[in-house]
Amino acid sequence: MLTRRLFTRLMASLAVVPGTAAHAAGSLLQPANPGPLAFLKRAFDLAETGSSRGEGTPYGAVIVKNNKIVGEGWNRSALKTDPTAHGEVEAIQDACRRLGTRDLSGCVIYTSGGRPCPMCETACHWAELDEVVYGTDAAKPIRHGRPRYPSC
Amino acid sequence: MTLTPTDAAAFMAKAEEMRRRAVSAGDQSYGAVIVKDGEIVGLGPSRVVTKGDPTAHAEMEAIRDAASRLKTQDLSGCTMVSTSKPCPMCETAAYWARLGRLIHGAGLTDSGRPEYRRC
Ligand SMILES: [Zn+2]
Ligand SMILES: [Zn+2]
Repeated sequence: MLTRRLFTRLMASLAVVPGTAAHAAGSLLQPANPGPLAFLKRAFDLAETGSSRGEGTPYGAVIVKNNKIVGEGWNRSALKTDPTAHGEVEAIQDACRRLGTRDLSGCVIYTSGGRPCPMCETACHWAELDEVVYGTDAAKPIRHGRPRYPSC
Repeated sequence: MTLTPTDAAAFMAKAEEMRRRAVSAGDQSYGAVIVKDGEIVGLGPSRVVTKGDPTAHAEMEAIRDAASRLKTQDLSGCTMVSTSKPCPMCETAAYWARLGRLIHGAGLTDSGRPEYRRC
């Protein structure tokens, strides 16, 4: 028989951060032909998915390690009522949950749109990402290099 | 909105309490609160370590908490009081949240409205 205490403990062990369960639990779609173009395309697809559901503005991002997507995100600021929920922040949080670390060195972020805003670029810096790739045109990835920490 | 120096000191004491809460949870030593019309509407102990989230700085957590409680992403009219000077991630988050004013540190430094800075 399952005692109340054991049941509570079991539920606690299953608990994840509220609002992230569905997001983190799903498996990540991997492109058939992995590479910068495919990764940036995936970021654009996520942007489209999120905004078409009304979850936020149309921006998406993926985090890639060893040519595999290890985290994904899209702007969910409207859904979560959270002005910090930009696509890049969501992707960083997702990758950290999945990899079980907040050190994303060895990873590259691909993000749809222009250069990440200073909030997101600094978040990339804190997450120790190796490189930022962005593009307003899905067919033209722009390699920005290591995330920069604004020193002003 | 205006905060008297006495009010600012009282809110800094609350931010300090958040900092101590973070430390006792094994987290980084930072705290922040968001204030609106003389009331605290958002609390932020740093949760970087406890959540395993490099974006969970005290100021980010305070903004998330205030937006969630007030049910709006628009925190105009609010002031953020934080134990240290906000990093560029947090200052830009404050800019996106349209916070009116930032106060930081034991000396209650008032850096005014948050800015979007690229350098
Ligand atoms: Zn951003
Ligand atoms: Zn910060």
